Amino acid sequence: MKRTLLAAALALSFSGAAHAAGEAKNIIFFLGDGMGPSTITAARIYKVGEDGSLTMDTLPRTARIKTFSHDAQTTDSAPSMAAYMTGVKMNNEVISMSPETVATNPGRDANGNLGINNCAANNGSNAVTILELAKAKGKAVGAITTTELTHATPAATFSHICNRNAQYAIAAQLVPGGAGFNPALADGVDVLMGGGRNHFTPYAAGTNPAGRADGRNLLNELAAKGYTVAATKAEMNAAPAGKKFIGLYSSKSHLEYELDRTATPPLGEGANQPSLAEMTVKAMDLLAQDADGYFLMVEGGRIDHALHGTNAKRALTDTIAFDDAIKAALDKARATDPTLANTLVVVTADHDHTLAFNGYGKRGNPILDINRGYRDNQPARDADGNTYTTLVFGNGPNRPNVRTSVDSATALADNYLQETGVRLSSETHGGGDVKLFATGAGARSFKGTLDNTKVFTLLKSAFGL
Amino acid sequence: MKLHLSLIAALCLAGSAHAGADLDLKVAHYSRIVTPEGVTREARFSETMLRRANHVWTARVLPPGQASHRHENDGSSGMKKVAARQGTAHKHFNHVVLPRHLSLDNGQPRLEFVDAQEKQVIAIPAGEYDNVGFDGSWEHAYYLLDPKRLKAMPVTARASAVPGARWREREQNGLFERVLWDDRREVPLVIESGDKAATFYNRVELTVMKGVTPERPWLDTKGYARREYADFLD
Repeated sequence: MKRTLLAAALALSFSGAAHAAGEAKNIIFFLGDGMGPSTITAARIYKVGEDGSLTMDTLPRTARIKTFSHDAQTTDSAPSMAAYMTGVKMNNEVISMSPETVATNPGRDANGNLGINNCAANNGSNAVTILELAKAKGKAVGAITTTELTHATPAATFSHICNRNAQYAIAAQLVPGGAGFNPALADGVDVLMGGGRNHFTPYAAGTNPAGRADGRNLLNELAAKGYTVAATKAEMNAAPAGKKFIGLYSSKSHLEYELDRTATPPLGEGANQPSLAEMTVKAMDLLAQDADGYFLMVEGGRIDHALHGTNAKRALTDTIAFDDAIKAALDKARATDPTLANTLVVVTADHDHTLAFNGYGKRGNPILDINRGYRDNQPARDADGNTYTTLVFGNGPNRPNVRTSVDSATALADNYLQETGVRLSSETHGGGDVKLFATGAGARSFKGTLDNTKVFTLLKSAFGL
Repeated sequence: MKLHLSLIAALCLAGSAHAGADLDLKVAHYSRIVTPEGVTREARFSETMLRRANHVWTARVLPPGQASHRHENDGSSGMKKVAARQGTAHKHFNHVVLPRHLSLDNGQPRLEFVDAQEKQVIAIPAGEYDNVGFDGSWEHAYYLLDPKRLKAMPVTARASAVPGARWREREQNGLFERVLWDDRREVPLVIESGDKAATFYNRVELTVMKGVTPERPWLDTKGYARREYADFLD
């Protein structure tokens, strides 16, 4: 009897609370695109030295993640992010669809752009995303990135399509009530940020040559649905609470690399672009208006691009900018939720790259520099007597026909491209496991070596879904 | 004194943005290195180059019948047989096999690659220049050397078989540089560098073709998709 009463009392106390013990009201999911273990280590050394810690290093729960896709040992960002978001393994280039979905390239529109979506109606079915589940539960949802908003990683949170390159169709999935809208988003994603306005605005010869061939202006359509539309950091900062928000901070393509955004003067459109940390804090401000909580995905998307280009310096500075966003999010969340009892923060990567940490470098030797031996601090040399850098890549474009010594000034320059083993026109992803870090409500379950689809299960469980 | 004045005139021209004659060129690259283990490694490749006012068009000369690079339905020949994007499963951008168009727009270089196979022009923002092997210098592309560096190289007595062309040379710390510079056409005919111990040697040899073709291939891109380097990063 006593036991029965006690059990009943416990049950009542749980059901009376807004959230069960260990259950997250909010989830912030950080995705460092291509941010493999070597990239994290190199970024750590670059910023705080061998014995320092990045913010992500300080998160108490860790796991390793298997990243293979349905059809490939080495995944691309579409199925790997989709596995996190849906719990389903799918083919490379597929965005949040069932496993059998065949990636079918989009076709050319009248302007030569990839504006024709060739995904057949019977080519797979939608796989429900954690963002959609959160929305259905009444939470506010957001996706922010340093890439185009329609790029694979953010797209995997809010869209379903058989090929990641159909970016004009992905954009259309965001517009409530419009042709091609994804109805699982209900009244729409609450906060969206990234680059690539051209996928949302009409084609215009000369001024918007990569624009939409269907003539639609999705930003006008979103504004008509109550969105604040921003194109700059200033407009983002001025955006009022209580309204949905879309901020696209580049006319086309991705946001600038952090190294270029903060250069003097900033490159490209960098002068008007916010940092990822600034975007994250603003997104949290907007989403926190919802009393039911929120789901926010934050992508450091250009880490991957710099790695493809074998430009380690930009990869490391973008990794640090990503880590700064994690710190900003933790500080902001703890301001109202000191123990993170209501907020789960997960940090991971979608796949590795072929970045390798090379030679027996002396502790304290700059990570981007040529390798210097730990015994004598003298330049290490290859079998032909040439110096080499500590960071190299397994494959990529910079494989000289005849290798020569690299000098320190060259290796440390912003634009230096690390040398590669196998010569390919572009460096590939790597198939190795990646790291995951977690803290806050529901973080305890992130441990061991997990398949990427298991992360979805744990996110869902943390939300009490 | 006369010689001195003409040299100054020539070098002034070399330092300007596009002072040289319009030329059709074949550019042959050769490099050789002898390793401490006694292995000699050599590499050769050639390019065609159209040098025009405000435009430099460069295309790698590729071996015919590159089966592994050819699209199955491609009936064209030569350069067009090589696809920059191979297969449909994964996209690639191999700038090495695509014609490169560098232009000067209000004093600023603009770089793009033309993929006739895929009917697309791939623009390269300044921040991505290194990824496609461009150092950002219009002059280096136009003259195939650094005109300021050329200025510092004295004319030597080495015999030249080409009328109007003279050797300029410099030697320092066991390293040498030599340029056979054609003063009239404002173009290097030979660029050599290496070390006296012969452990490495580089040579670029330019052949000036007869006449100037009227074609401007960079204009032949009507209806091509406009893409960017970053579009090929996944």
